[in-house]
Amino acid sequence: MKKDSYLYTIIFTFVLTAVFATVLSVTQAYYLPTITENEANVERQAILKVLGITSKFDLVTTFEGQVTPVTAGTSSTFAVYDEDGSPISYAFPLDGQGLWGSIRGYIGVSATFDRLLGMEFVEQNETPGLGGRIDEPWFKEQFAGVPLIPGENLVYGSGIDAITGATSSSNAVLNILNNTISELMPLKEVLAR
Amino acid sequence: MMKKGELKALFRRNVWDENQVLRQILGICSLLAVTNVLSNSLVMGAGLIFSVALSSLTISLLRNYIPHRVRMIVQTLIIASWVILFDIIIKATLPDVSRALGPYIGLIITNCIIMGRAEAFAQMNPPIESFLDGVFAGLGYTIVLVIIAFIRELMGFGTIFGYDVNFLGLETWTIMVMPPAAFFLVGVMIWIVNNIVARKQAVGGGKNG
Repeated sequence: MKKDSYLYTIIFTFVLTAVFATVLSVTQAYYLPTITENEANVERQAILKVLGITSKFDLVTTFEGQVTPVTAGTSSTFAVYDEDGSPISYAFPLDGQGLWGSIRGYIGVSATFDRLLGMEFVEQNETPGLGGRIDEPWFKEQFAGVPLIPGENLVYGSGIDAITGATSSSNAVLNILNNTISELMPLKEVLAR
Repeated sequence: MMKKGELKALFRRNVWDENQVLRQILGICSLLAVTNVLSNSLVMGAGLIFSVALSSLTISLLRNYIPHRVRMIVQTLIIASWVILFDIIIKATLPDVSRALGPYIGLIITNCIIMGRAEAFAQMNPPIESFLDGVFAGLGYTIVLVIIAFIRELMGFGTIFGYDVNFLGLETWTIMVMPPAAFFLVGVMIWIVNNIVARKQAVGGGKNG
């Protein structure tokens, strides 16, 4: 068959595409459980971190042993209970628009909803080195222990600092945080029951 | 097989004489994006070496069977396949790195160096030479990336590979963190390298061709 004929061209591209697509599909299928598990571990790690749980056991064991998924409202919430079954703390998902893309993460809240325990991100696409610094420990740690007062928004300057040169990302985080907090305040009674 | 001299010449041509970034001004987009920290630059370099070497190898192996009029589509298909493969492997084995680089790994597909090597070398040279040509071209790119990332991370964050080396507590330059800094630095590097090459040619009577 001539190399420049239409038939050869069509058959060649068809076969080659089929071969490469098959190789990629097989690889993807083979690694999919690992990739899913990695992604789940990122979430678990973030949840444990905002709840302030450290443990010498491995991640999955700690998570399964300490954290109970509960449903409250529309969001998937994670609760930690003491031995008597009364709640110690909750982790709520954080979700909103950053400067370039969505920012997703978790916040930890005390059982009485009066204190923020921590904040972690699992997904953010802010400018590396600028807005991306929202994922640096010093920035996130500022939010641990911040008192939550119903009806009052968190602002920068009062014990929490924004990031120099990354005003939009800093404000985006604060907005997402304030929105999330105002949405979850009504859940206090629901969860207490 | 290649002779030792040929190998050396191939290495020298790809890393120095025709360096993809400094002499051919290719791969600039990814350079601007990832060079603000060293670790990302190294992974990006590794990803590019992997993709360009294996793409060149594949294209070279198939070079006598690829119909001329669809060769670019075929090259893109091969390049995309290797890059996606690299992306999947990194996601599964190095999830932290994959998260740090985000979409940049997938964007290796659009790196002009790979297509450049495919068009300029792999489609008319034997597989082993093409593979090595890819490795060396990627190496030349990685070296430039690492030099620029070293300067940018040091001046922008005061760190090297994430370790704090800013012992004097000097003010870090925010501009070094942003893509324009890479533009300035790569410009300066191109200027220096062009000068060295021009001087050598003047002295050696154009020995480098």
